[in-house]
Amino acid sequence: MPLTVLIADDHDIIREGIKNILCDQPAYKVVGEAVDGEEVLEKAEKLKPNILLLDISMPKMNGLEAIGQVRRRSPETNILVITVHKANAYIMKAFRAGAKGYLQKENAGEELLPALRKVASGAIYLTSSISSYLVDKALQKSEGKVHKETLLTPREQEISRLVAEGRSAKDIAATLFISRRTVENYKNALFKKLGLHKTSDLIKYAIKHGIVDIDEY
Amino acid sequence: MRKYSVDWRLLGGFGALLFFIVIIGAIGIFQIQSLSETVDALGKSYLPMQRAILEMKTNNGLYAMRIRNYIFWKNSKYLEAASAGANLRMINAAAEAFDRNLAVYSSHIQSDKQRQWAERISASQQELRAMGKKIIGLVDQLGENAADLGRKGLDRTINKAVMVFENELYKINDFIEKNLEKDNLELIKEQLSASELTRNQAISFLGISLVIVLLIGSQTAWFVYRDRRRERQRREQLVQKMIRIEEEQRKHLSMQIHDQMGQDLSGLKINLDIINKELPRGNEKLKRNIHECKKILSDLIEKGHNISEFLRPPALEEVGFLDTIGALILQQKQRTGIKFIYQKPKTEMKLSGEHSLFFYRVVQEGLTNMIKYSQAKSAHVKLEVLSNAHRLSIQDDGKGFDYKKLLRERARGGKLGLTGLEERAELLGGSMTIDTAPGKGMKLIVQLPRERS
Repeated sequence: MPLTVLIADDHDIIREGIKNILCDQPAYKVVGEAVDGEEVLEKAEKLKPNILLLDISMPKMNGLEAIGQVRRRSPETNILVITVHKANAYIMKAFRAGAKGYLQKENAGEELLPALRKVASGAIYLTSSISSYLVDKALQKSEGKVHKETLLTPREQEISRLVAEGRSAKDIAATLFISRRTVENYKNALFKKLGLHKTSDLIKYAIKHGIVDIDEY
Repeated sequence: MRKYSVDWRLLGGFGALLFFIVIIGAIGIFQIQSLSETVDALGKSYLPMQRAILEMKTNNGLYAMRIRNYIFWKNSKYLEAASAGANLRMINAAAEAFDRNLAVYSSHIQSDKQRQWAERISASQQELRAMGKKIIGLVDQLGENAADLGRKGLDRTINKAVMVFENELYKINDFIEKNLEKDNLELIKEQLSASELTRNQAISFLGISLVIVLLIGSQTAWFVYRDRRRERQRREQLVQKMIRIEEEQRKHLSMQIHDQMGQDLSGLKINLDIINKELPRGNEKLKRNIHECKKILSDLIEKGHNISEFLRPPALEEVGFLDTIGALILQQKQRTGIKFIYQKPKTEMKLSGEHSLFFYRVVQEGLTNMIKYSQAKSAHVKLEVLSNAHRLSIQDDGKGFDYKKLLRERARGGKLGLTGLEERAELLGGSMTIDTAPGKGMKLIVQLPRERS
């Protein structure tokens, strides 16, 4: 049984090129094509392909946003991002969102088949011109970053986040359009609820529970 | 092009102001002059005249008194010898003083009436002097014929002459008092009330003028202020608009390059690979040519990347601002080993294209500088949403530098990336501050206003 492939790219020349490469490969079967982000979601859900070849810069919804949604709608689909971009930000975001591979378009002629093999086997593939350092970092973070449940209401979370960011009560009051007294009341209630005594304890709590976003590299 | 237009209200304001100042000045000068003329007349003629009049009356009195003294002295045997001569001199002195004061009065005469009075007094005074001389003569005659029988008759003659003399003197003084003095006092009173009137007029006129000038002045100043404020706002809007247009064009160009050219060139390269694979063996020369083409294409793609990164990193939109900055930091970490803490808001910041690009450039430039010069071991990059601003701070524990000195050096030649960014921050309505000193590390803070949504 060949692996089913869905190709998502808004450029005809790219889709044609990919089909051209795959047409004499019995291991793969192109089952569909999509030209924008929304079509990708629809077809992924309907076709449940083994592999999704996903471009990033597409109309309606870009590929990076589509990754998470495809993973929800079709969890068995392995996603290989194929894009012109090579900036770190794209690579990290793609892997964090759950992509299995990242291939630069210009290398597709040589690397598409090896990339597909890797991704199909459940391994990670990164295009040859880029170091794996970023991917390691990205995957590390996405694994470590499972937010623990917190007892706090959204408003309490917001206030503890602002406190942890080192903002004064006056500043918090101005940001949330509430009175300074209300901020103090919230703070006291937070201390009581969490059994804390100092502002620094609240900051620790906020970092531990992912309420405040601090990355250490 | 904006047509240069004349602001008629402003021009009118200035014209009226100028007109009022000239008129007030002229009237003021005129009034001061008339006031000083009044005072002048008072000081130079009416007061000396008054003094002369009083002196005339006094001297006439003295003249009469001294003549009576003379008679007394001559009659008294014991006193005569010592003082007769002195008494005569004093009589003459009083007469001379009277004449001097009459001359003073005459020199200030302003009307025919006064001239006639002076002439009349002069004539009467001559008669009075003649009488005086006659009395003195009679008294002297009496002295020579002491104990004479005719003495009684002489005494009577003297007494009669003195009575006539005194009557005449009284008439002269009365005339002086009733005519000259009265007239002069009236004139003085007139002058005083005239000067008071002028003064009051001047004060009220100047007061009113001052109020009017103040009103026109403040109105004009308000026009000037308002115009300048409008002009400044217009310029600011223009700058903002230009920045926005520039930003849009950068974005558009960047998109065109990476999304159109980049895609097409990649497509071309993929197709070359397909051709390469399809070529039968033995076409080594052709394969080499294809390889060459692929290298050229890779170069072109790389150049496209660089250009679009320079214009506007597409990741700012497609990946998001916070993650793009995070990747930038991670890249520097990978390159240098500096330990970074990146603190950011939980949710994506709502930044305009200009602002996100600017923050990106500051991080890029700030980290590049840090790596080049600071020898920092760790650094803290922090992004915050404040109540009315977005704030970026970059802090390191490096060796710091003398920023002012650096500015001076760079001002002479070349451009410092950071100062260029400082100007840009101001153009965007924000601020950039660098807090550093040798050995103290560096803290850079950029604040841009939050845009109203």
